[in-house]
Amino acid sequence: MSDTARPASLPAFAALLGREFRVELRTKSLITSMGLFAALCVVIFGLGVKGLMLDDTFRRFVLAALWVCSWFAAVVGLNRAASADRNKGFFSALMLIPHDPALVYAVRLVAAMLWLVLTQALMIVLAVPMLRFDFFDQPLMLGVLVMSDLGVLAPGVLLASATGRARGGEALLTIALLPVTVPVFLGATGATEAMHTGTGSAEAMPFVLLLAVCDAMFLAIGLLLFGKLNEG
Amino acid sequence: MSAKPAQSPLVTLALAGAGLIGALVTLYLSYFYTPVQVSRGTLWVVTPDGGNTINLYESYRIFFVHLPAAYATAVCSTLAAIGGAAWLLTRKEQWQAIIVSCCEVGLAVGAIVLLTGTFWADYAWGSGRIGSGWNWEPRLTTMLILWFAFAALLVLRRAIDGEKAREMMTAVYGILIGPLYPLVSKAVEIGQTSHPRNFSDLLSAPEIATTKHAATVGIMLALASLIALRYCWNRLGQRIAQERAA
Amino acid sequence: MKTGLRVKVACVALAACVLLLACAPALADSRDEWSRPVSEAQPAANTPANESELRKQLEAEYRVELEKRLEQERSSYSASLTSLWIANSAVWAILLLFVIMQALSARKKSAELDRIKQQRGN
Repeated sequence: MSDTARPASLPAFAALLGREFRVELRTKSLITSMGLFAALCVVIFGLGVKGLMLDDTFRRFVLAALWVCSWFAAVVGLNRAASADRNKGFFSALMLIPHDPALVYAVRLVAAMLWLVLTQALMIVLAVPMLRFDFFDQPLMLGVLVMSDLGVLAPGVLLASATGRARGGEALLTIALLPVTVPVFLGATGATEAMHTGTGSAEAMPFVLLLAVCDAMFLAIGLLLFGKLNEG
Repeated sequence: MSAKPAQSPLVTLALAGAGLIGALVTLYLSYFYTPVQVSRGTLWVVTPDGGNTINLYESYRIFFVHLPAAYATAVCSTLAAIGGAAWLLTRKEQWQAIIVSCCEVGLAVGAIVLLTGTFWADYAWGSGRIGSGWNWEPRLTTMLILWFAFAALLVLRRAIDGEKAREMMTAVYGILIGPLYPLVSKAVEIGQTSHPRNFSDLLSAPEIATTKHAATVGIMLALASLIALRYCWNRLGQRIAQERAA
Repeated sequence: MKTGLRVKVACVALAACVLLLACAPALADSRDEWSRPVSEAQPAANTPANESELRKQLEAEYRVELEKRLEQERSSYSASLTSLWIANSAVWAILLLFVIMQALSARKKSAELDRIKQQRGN
């Protein structure tokens, strides 16, 4: 494959990304499964904490609960995409394109990021009445959200491409992805908490830095190894 | 450690002997050579309520196992990453055996770090009840996660059927484990509350410094012997699999 | 004459004072109440009955406090020993577990190898 591989180009990237969107628009499988999952999570958490006082502990709990929901929503999405790939043979077809396989990885990552951000938007809309969520008041939050999504999905897309083919792949992805992405989770919860309780965004900076380091590292590893992991 | 030494059982045996002697010397030094730590505040430990330093008494001897075992975990995760990269470059199956051995031994030494740390912390900054020392601060959490990552690699290997896919996954996951240790050691800088940042106060006592250095060497030798031992068995397993396929 | 007597009396008085001052330490040494701080000597002089009671009370309080501190110190020390023991047994348990796993896998592997060799032989 490597001798015929051409370097990644913007038109190829756009074409592949367009394909992902068209497939999703036709099947709506990812958005419905992730969205439904996230909505159910928020409802269940809301039921579990109904009648509790709206104090600092409660708000911290809501933050942690939303991060957990969004992590699992990401895993649900990755698994759903992997099973579609496996059943319909999308993936092996995609790997045949005459380009660097890192391109496929980048496309998958960008698409997955978009689905996850949409799901998180839905979660926040639901959490405002159901969990009395009143936290999205700092612009830096959006940055933290995108960075942590990237930190989870960059190794997630890489690992899902391999676990998708294994038996019990759905459970495997959860087991494999959680240890790797915990630094991201630490950074995300730390940054949101620091912004919540701290005097300003300065206290959140070490956590944002941790997120940035994780993102850069996982992205580099993913781009380098995606082709190798899926060759042959 | 390269792939070579463990191939000969004699080298493994020699390493095992050195490791045993190292461990025994560590034990002797930490129990009979170092004095009981009675002066207040020589090791930086802050009680959660007041910010006072507390007296560690005999419990500080845990340090001589806890710290070298943490170094050993670092060596295991780094070697797993090196093995992953080396396998991707050379495709020699020795490297697979190294990754797996490192994860297996990493599970053991990681458990030692976590348990000795927790039981020590129960006394040092907890209430004395078992488990009260676990306070979810970054260094504890990331070390636990590193341990889960070792376990995850071994589980993943068992679950993937095709040999090629399994080896590929092992190598890639080994590379993903590599950066986890630097994150563990950096995590101590963020959100730090209880875990000491450095031990310079403790090491200012010459006996303690000597024992710490000796313990590091001794435990590293023991680690090398464990990895070599596991490596021999993993290589044998690979050979058996080849025989069975033939 | 009168003046001479007055001067003489004054000189003697002065000499007596100087002598008294010079001998003061000797007097203090011989009767040790003199050297006691005023604050302690005064209540003793005023209420001799109270003094021994107060002393007993203070002593009792001191004993209780001392015992409490010592007990704390002792329990802290034994707790540190307990912590050392538990941590050590954890280390030994893990190493033992590792050795047992090792032995089990060794047995399995050598049995497997024997089986393959036997198959080869047949």
